[in-house]
Amino acid sequence: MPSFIKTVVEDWLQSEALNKLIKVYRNDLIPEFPLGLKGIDYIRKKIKSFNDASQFVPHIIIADLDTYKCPKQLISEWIRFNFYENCLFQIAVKEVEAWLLADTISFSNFFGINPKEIKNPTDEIDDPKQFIIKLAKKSKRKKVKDIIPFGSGKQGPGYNSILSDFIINKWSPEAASENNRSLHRAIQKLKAFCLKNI
Amino acid sequence: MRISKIKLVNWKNFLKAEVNLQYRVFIVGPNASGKSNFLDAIRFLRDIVKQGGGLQEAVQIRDGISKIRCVAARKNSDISISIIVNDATDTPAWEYDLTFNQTGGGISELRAIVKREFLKNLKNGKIYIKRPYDNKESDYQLEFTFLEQASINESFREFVDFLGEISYLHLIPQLVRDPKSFLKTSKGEDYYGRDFLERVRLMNKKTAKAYLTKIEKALHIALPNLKELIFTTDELGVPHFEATFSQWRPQGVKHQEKHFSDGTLRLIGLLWALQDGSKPILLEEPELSLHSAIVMQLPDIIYKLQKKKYSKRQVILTTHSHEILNNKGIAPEEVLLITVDGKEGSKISESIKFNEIRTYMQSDVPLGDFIFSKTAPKNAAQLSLFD
Repeated sequence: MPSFIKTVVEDWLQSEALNKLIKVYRNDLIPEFPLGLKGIDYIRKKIKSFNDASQFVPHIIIADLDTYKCPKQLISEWIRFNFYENCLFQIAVKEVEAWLLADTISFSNFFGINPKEIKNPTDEIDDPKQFIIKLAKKSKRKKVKDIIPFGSGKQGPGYNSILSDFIINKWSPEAASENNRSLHRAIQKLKAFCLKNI
Repeated sequence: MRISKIKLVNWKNFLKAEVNLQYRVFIVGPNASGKSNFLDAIRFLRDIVKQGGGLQEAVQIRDGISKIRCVAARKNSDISISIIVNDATDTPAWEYDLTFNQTGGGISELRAIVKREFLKNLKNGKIYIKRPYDNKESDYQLEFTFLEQASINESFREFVDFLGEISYLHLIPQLVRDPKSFLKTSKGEDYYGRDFLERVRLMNKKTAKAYLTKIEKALHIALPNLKELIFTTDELGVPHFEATFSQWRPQGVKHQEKHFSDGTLRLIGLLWALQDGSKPILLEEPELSLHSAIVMQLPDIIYKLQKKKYSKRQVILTTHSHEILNNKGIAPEEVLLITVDGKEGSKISESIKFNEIRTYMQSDVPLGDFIFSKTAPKNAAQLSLFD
């Protein structure tokens, strides 16, 4: 019997990426509608409550590295408790967008650009969101143009729906994990995530 | 094609208003600040050119000039609506200006009269309408705009058709369910009540099927136990939606629109209206009755469905929804904010005009939070204290 699982994310794109990982590696889990969707501060403030709640429903929490230097620094500042077995906390370096870029072949195909345009390893791209927007500007494909912000917006009107389409239909986490250490680690931990009977 | 700029003088809540309109427009503001009245200015132009319409009719269904004119209006009592319309390649193509007032009173009937009417093709500079003429037109002639006169508007039919094809959606579930509502709404035609079903029935079968398939796909996600949505007519020829919901009976259970929930009806209406047509569509609070998880996605759904084969369709909507505005894909240029100034009526401006917004955007404060604090009544917390 598959078990329902709560996911906690910063935004929609993280949710799509996480759901894809769960679909590929853990078909024994069914993610419910995500909690959070309110950025990183919300997760930082509530992470202890999510951990506590995982005694009753398993939780997977995901957060971007944001301005922290490395995952260790983030953990030492955020976490002053022990995680229960049913709570999995995963950090994406630096943003979940870097995980998408790491599947260089599919991504460059989707955007119709030269794969060499994507810097590897993608963990080292400073601002992956802006990097993707730049790639969209270079791309000649009409369908990715709406990733580019309009006016003074921060992301384009199609940012979420276009990249979600990529995640659902094209993105291979397996291929991406070869170019991205934090994704590789996340997959290993997800595979090993063993639910304790509640 | 889209309306890229609109200017209003003495129109309902607005003493003066001038804003740019993008392909997606979100109009926000406190209750009773004039969100719908802003949309109504666009509908007014459409009512002039629609079949059986005209200036007098458009004024009459709004209960006369005195109900249209801004109560804050003073010396200059003329009402004016001006728009600029861009063509399919998004270059400014038409400029139109209509200024009107009324004559009569006392024992003679009140009639609306045109004070100024002006239409120019911005691409070739040709002026098609310029009223008043030097040779004086009679008062009777001034009761009609040139837009509404088929014998005159031949050379600028493109512009007239554009206005005529603007659609408006305010689906009222109670009306869809009430079989008699067709009679009540047939005059207003704007309220998607029972006549919504009639419109579906009159449509080309193939197109209707294609729309329905898309709606069905969306409904599958929103209502996981919906199996099938079809459109049928009963033995009396009355059109119906019929949905099959799965449950423990293997054949499922069938419901007609009368038994649909408010949310289901609104979602069907919304998805239908967005697909139907290519000229601007005006939506009143599309978030009503819908689950927040769906509301959050509305800006994305609209963005998806506004893309047409050869052009993009303009969607102008009013909303109170925090969830809609917190969608990161919305640029401040797309949000028009209405604020109320006690004596001088309402003011409308692009939210980007507020200086603080750039700072907020930089530091990732969601747009919705900013808008919410701008539009909420200052003493909302005291609402629960009155006695």
